Amino acid sequence: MYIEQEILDGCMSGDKRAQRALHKACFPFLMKVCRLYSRDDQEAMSFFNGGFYKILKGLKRKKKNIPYHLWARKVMVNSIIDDYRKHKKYRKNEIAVEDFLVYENTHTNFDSDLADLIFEADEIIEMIRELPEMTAKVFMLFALEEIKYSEIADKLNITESTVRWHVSTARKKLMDRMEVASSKKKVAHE
Amino acid sequence: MNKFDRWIREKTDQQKFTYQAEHWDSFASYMAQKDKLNLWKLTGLLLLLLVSLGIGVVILLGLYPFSGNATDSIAASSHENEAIEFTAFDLPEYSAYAGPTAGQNTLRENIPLFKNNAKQPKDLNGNLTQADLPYDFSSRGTVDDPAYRPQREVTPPEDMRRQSNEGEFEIDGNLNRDSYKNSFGETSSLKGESLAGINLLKSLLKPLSNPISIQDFSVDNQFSFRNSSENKTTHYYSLLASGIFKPGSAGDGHFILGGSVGGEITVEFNRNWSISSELGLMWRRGTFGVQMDHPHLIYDFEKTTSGYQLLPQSTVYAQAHLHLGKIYGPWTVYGGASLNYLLGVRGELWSYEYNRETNPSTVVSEEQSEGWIGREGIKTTAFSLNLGVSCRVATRWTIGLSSAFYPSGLIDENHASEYDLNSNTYSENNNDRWELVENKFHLSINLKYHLQ
Repeated sequence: MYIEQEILDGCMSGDKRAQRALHKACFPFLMKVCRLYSRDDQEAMSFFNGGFYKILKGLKRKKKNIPYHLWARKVMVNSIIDDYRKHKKYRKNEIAVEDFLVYENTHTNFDSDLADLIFEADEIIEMIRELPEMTAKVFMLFALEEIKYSEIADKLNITESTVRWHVSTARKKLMDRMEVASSKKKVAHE
Repeated sequence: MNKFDRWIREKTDQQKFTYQAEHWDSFASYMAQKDKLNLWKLTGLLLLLLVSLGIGVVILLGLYPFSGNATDSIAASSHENEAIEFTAFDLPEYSAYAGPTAGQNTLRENIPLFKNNAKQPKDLNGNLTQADLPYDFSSRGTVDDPAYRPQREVTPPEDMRRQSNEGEFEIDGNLNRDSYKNSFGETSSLKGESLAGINLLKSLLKPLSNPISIQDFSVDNQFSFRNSSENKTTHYYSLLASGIFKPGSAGDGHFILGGSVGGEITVEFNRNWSISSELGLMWRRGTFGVQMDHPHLIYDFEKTTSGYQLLPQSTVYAQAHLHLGKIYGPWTVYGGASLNYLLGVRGELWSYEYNRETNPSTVVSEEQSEGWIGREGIKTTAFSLNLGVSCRVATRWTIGLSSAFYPSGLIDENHASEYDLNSNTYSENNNDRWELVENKFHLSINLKYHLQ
């Protein structure tokens, strides 16, 4: 993705037209990020507005050698994490009883080609959204943003062992749900 | 990251969106609202700083006349309409006044300026008085000193009684007997002028003036906490430097070191209570520490994690506090509140981590990572409650220990639990820990230098 320097300069000087152009250009790829970290589309829109505001205000501090889309994505993710840290004390802990069940299936035989054929992107996103909030956030940071355990622990103020636990739990739960969903599809197809 | 993670990443990247005009409208209204809110926040902060400064100045100027440096201003003003009678004191009574201290006598003897000072106490005939004679300092400043006992009953005005220093011999900067007061508040004020303004000006210009000046003696007398008979209101300005220690700020075994500098205005009432207000900057440097996780069991793997992190990062705060203290001799126990505005964080952290996964007999994987990680800046405002104790260790120096608690809220960090395959048990809430927000608690050792 390439953003013209003229648009970025216009945004820095407060030009509304440039801001709108940047908004339009950024919306598809940043909204993807927001949807992944949100519980529903309304919250995703709220994340997008908050993050894009920070992007506009922080443009002057962006180093020239960093590609815009990488920088913008990082600001967006950090904005979402900040928002989460700010509000998490008000949120209910959403760990369900099933979190404490024993996972005996280690899902070692994951077939990505088959899964690709069975599932649409939106279905996977819905499954991610059904995960406990902290587990989903940790997994997104690890799998999508490729952030190290230690840094995730630092961002979310939890220990590294807890981060590992969340990642492991997220994988197993997602695989479980995919298995159940694929079985249902199979039955419906037959 | 394994195959499954990569697949999730690729799959979720396949989302499609259609841009609509209402998306921009939504953002535009959000931006307008946010800009307005930021403007209010900035205005509020500036107002707070101005109000703090204003309160400090008002306290400073309002209480200055009551301080030891300017006691004459009240005495003089309360008599400003009275005729000045140089014959009001007859010789026996006048000669009973103690006169200058040993320090003043020494100055007078050794410094030509004082030898020829026209303001040296003399009687009405122009002769040197008892004030110039050697004096027994053991009884100075007490009503038991026969030399101080007044020859006749005098009822001083209320304001003069309030500022009575129990016979303390004060020097007002002019080395004359006009500033003397005894324990009954009696004063031999022969001058009708206020010295408050002059003294204030002297204080401000002090660094430029002769360092060996009478004003120095006056200041020293004012801050002598050993003299328990003092009974007055004093104020002083201080330069404040603190070293800050924040334990457990970034996980187990981590701590933050920092420092702050600022200015403080303190008012002490009758050597009994004090109010202080500080305005300054706080800077903290990183978190340092070693984090060692316990080897723990997850499912059928045993993971051992160990590592350490060096997290140099800078944070700058603007902070203002208001403290109320109770004075016990040289000690002051105080409590109060502070407001911190975190201006920015920018830095990097360096970490080293070693992970090892084994099943009961075989090493499955070993990972070792280290490197620098960039951090984004954040801004926040924090309110804290403070409790501390300070000790005046010298005339101009105070050392204190202060604690700050940030009641921004307890956070239940997570409700993770772990399953132990070996013992076939799971432990619920094993990783629970209650945590405060980032700025939870800190201890600081502070050192104050009193300018006046």
